[in-house]
Amino acid sequence: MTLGKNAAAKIAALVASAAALVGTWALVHQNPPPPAAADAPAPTQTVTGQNGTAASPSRARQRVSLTAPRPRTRTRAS
Amino acid sequence: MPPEIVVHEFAAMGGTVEIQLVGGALPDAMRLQALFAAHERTMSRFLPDSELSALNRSAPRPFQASPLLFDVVSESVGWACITEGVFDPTVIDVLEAVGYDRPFDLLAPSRAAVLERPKTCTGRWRAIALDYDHEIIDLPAGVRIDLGGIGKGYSVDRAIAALGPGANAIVNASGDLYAAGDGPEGEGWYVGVQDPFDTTGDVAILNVNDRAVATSGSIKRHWTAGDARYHHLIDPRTGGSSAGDLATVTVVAPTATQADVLAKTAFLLGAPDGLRFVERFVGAAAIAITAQGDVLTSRGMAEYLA
Repeated sequence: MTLGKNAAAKIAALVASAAALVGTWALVHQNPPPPAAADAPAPTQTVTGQNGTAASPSRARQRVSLTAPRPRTRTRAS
Repeated sequence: MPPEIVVHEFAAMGGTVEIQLVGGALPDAMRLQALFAAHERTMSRFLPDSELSALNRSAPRPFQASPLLFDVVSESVGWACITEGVFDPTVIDVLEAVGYDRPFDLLAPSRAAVLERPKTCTGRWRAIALDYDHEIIDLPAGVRIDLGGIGKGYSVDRAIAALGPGANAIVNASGDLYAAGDGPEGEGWYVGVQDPFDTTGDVAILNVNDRAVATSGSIKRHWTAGDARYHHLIDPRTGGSSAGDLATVTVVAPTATQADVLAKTAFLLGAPDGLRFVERFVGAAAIAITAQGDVLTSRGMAEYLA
């Protein structure tokens, strides 16, 4: 095998490629991809529990999603 | 660039009215303020010179009403019929007997005793005669009308109508509101449902457009007399302040009048009957919060939750 005139440059390129491969392997193993959608936690419900029916209304403690948009106004007992 | 929103607040009907107009102008908001003032002068039972007070003094003689008073009284009687008397505009004697005989701001939080309650308060709305052709109201002797259970919702509907078709606005009268149009960002109006046990927070956020929202509850307007606690939501079936199991009921409905009446009716019926009742109406849904802090939703409410 002949390295030719640019032997030093070719060796440097090979070393750089190997280093890049090692770097990529390390990145993948330190930062695994996110789990599949089915494994991801469900988003917070605006009101906990299922939507009830009149015959058996759902019973749930109050909670508002942290990601719910900021209301423009409010309803309240007056 | 977000559209400009005119926000205007003023005192009316024993509370605060808030107007939000997307792309509107202050004169439009001022026009609505004048509308609320006119409605209060007509409908208030606390103003001795209101048209309602004149009507209540007129019994048992026929009373020639203005178109506004006739319309809201006939709506009231109509809803009494629809709710089979659970919503009853003639329980004013009971309200006064348990102590609600002046604007709430002027009520002492505690009173020594209450008056003797009237022996009969159920179904007297059935005896009100309405002449639709001539707008004449005929109250039987001893019957008076209170529009406190419907006046704010009715006025909100009239205010929205006054804005004309295509309005993108909120009119909120102390919690009884109508959200017209798609809101400032075009994705509907977001409305918080106040937590009755922590009034700085919300139990839910609604996303509505062209829908009304109203809440009834005994958390705010209550007082004590002797050892007993009273509030303004009178149950005509018992002749006293409702002793139900709910803290508040919030109703979404096509009109503010309907939302206002259904919220009061559902509150008086309690859970689950109140939720079941609301489900009878197309486009209506309810969230009830029990005295224990549980949140109950009727069928159809998921459509409105943000």
